[in-house]
Amino acid sequence: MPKILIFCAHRWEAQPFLERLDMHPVAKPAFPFAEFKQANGEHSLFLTGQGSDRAAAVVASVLSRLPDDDSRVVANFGTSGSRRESFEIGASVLVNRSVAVASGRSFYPDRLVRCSWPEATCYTLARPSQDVPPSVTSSVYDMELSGVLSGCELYLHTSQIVAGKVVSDYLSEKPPDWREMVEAITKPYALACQTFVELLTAQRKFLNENRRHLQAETANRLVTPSLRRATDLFTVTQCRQLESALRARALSCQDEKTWTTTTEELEQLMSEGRDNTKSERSKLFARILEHVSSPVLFSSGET
Amino acid sequence: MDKRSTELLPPFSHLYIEEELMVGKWAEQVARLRSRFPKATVVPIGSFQELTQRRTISWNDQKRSPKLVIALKRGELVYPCSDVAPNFGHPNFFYAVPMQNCLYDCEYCYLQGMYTSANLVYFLNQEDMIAQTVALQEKLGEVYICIAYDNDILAMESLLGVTADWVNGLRNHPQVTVEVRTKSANFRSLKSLDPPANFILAWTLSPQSVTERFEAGTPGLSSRLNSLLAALQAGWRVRLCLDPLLPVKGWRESYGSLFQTLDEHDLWNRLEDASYGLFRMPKQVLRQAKKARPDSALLHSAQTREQRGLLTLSGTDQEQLLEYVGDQLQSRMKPSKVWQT
Repeated sequence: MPKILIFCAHRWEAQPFLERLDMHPVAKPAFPFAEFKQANGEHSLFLTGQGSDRAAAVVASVLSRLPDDDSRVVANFGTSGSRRESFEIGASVLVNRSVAVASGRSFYPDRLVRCSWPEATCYTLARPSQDVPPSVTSSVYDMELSGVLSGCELYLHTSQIVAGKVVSDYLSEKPPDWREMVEAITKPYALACQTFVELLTAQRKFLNENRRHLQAETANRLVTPSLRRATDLFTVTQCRQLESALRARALSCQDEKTWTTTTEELEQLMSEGRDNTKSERSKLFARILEHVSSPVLFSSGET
Repeated sequence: MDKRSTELLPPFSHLYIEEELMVGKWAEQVARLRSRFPKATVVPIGSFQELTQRRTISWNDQKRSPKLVIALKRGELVYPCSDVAPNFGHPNFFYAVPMQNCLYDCEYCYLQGMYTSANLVYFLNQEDMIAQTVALQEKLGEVYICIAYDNDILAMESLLGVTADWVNGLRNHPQVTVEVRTKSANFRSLKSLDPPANFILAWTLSPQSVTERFEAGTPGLSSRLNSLLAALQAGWRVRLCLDPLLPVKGWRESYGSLFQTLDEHDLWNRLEDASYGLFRMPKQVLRQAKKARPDSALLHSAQTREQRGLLTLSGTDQEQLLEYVGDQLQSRMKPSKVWQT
């Protein structure tokens, strides 16, 4: 499963990533839009096309097919407009707030990892010549980011999202000649992509190293099989209680052997309840709950 | 707490400020605050809720690099306390939230279940909260208000000066009693203030082993105790809070050793009073806290419903610990000064 996903609007914006990360088009595409992958599958890149609606649809359809992973990083990178007084052409900018101009909604990717780039609000416009709202700080303007973030919203934490832009033109001025613009920013854009990849790797490392997530995942892995067996015997509420108690037990278990003993005993107890009546099961549940309550963290039995 | 990566941004690397406060009558106060965080990146925001009340926030990720949000508190500014909180003999018992969230990272903290975001929110309109407190006092005669239930304002005093603002605003209102609860060792930031007669600084202390295991980021027992002693020395009213009591393995030795340490400092007659209580949490808050801290064996162990309907830990040790601490306190202080919460 990909650990870092990059969404770009156009092929030109994606090209430096494809080269640097040695990504190639997938042989049998699962989506009706372009998808590129590294051979080891760690990075994936998707082309959203232009506009925030398309971007939202593309991002949501990709993320809906992936299993949960709290340390997966999703990124948007591309060109943007700016006011002349804010940034120079070719400047790299990290986005700390995204505003959908059409709806007024804001999104805030968490800023957690160091980066030397200046930061800005990114306003996502519906069309290139749209009037832009006044801003109290430096801003950039694009046509996709709020869509990307809106697509992410259902699937990811705000800490998993990173967005960057390279300023390609100024607002309220004659639209730039595409060839001239490309010539002016090709080099800084490629360099920015390189730095951005390093930032994504650092963000991934940060999320992946969160000891609390790791402990929770381990506990999940341990608890799930026992819980699956319990669902045949107990009510939803009882299963929730049991899950909580088992999780506490798993989190405070010092070694695998202790956990194995706990689950074997639990299995034994649960086998007693297979043909029981509801009230008998209720009594059995109380016994099980008492049995799995963690004796390691707390000093059960101590006087 | 895991080892901090060098690539991780430090706390308060970013100031999220409500846009409307950056111009107009609040602009000067905002500028003063910004000058205290000279390296911070400023991010304008619409309202603090759109940043802190998203369901897609990971508490544990934000907690590793918390940011400061500067906002205005709107609507009700002072709230009546629930019946399950101890009122220390004051019928008109209220609380205010001058700041939302805490710099510390205690595993048992109910704030994890109250707020989805681990970022700290500081409200600029402290004066409005103080004015509403005075208005309440004029209506009710006497008011007791806690201003540090949902935060640790003393820990942030040198940056935000919240306690000093409240002292200056309420010093001449003897019918208002204010409790400032803390785990900080930061009394020095209040040292320049004359101790007000209507303020109580309430220090939460735990055995060192409990602090190390469950109170990440907090000062150790001796630092907190020194700060408490400095406050007593300076003439402040001080409350001792042993709350929550946790029945950790070897609790009798741990809590016994805590009492021994306290005995060495001849403080029992100088304390305003003392409170103690078990770990407990409302069901809804606990459910959210468990989501925020899926790694916490402590939170996932709380399954037993106690008399007030709150969830607590199970086992007889709890009751024994409660009884033990109650007895220890009552053997050192007048029973009327000991509150079980």
